[in-house]
Amino acid sequence: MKLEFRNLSKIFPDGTRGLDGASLIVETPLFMVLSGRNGSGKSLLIRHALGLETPDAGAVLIDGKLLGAVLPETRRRVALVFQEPEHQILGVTVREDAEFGPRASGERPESYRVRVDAALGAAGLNGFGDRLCAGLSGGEKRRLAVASALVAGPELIVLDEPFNGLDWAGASDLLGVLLGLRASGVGVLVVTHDLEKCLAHADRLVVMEGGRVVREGSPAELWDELPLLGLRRSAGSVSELAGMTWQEFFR
Amino acid sequence: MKSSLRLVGQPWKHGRLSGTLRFAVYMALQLAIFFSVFPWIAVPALAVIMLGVVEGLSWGRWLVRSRILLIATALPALTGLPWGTVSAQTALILWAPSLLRSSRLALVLVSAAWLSAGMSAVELRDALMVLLRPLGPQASGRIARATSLTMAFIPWTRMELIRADEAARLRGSNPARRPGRHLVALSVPLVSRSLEKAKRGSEALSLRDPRFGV
Repeated sequence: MKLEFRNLSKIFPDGTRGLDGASLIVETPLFMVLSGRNGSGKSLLIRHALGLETPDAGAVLIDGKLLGAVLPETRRRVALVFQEPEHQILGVTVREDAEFGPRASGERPESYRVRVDAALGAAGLNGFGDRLCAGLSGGEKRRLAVASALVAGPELIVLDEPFNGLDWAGASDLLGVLLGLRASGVGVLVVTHDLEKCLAHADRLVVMEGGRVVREGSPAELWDELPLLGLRRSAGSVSELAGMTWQEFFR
Repeated sequence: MKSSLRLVGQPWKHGRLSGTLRFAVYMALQLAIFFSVFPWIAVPALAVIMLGVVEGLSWGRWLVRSRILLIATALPALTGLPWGTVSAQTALILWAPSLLRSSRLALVLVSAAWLSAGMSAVELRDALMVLLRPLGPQASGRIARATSLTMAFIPWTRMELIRADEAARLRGSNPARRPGRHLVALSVPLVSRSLEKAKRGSEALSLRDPRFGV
């Protein structure tokens, strides 16, 4: 699928400019990282992809069609994992939360049960089905949000600051899940300023500043510019990072 | 199907009424509480107290724990006290409606305490689904979803209340000395976080439920 943000602008009621002519094309499958300083408009941009925000100017296009015309379909094809997964959990137990989408669509249990099991398995939550969501750790809640998003079989999964509050083990587990998705053909768009945890595995890196996309390229192309763009990069060179598996990277 | 079989098949669990039967008894008690007048309201009152005693529920401990709520339930009776009436009989007739209101409020709390003492939130939702089945899969599904959402909100609200309480205490708020000020200190973050949670929750719903908000 092709998701296109075309010259998006958004001004808040207090006059703050959230987006200022932001343009970006996301084509699946790929592992894209959207980065930038706090307040650069990253989260606001992706909220436009699912119709959670309406731009003051510009347009969002899905495979060349205006988002407004294909919104319900887009919400099945593109999944969003919130910055605070707690807000996204709508079930009492893990299984119930994962089943929420298909149940809400009126699907019969026999048609979604296998899909739900597969999604929980892909997110490393096998055997968690009967656990109460309120008792999960931060990393488990985030993986549950990913699993719930996967149940609908999205072509693109967007994660807003997925590594926030996760320790290295939790971040490593989550990155493993995301790389597994990437390998199975699902597009992954990670919005983060925490480049250390995922840059080595990204196909594309996009940097935002002041509500617009200022740089876009492969991590290797942008590596030397990262400090100038206000982003911290890990020690070593990008070629060293790119040569590592994610397990090696975390080790 | 599986859950309904489980609920119907095991109406007693560890000496307690459980599942759909427990919820049906609770609903019957509510009807009795709201449709009985003096002196018949004593019947559901005795029934719920006896159910609790049989199941080993300590009403004394519950009374102490819930004293503030019980004081609140007594307010209608207190405000309806017929001051300055000539005879006791007239006073009782005048006082009866407000006394009945307080009794009903108190019995709602007592019956809710009995229900929750032997039933988890998930069991409650499952029982509701079984009882609502005659309404059809769509309506019962919607009501069960709404119940589920509400129940998912409860542990979150409880955690936020604990966090706000700890933060307020750490910053010098003393509920023993100034309970009113402490309540205000709790209410501000709790309300603002609840509003944020409600906003994000509705966004999540709109993303995950194709019939919601589109």
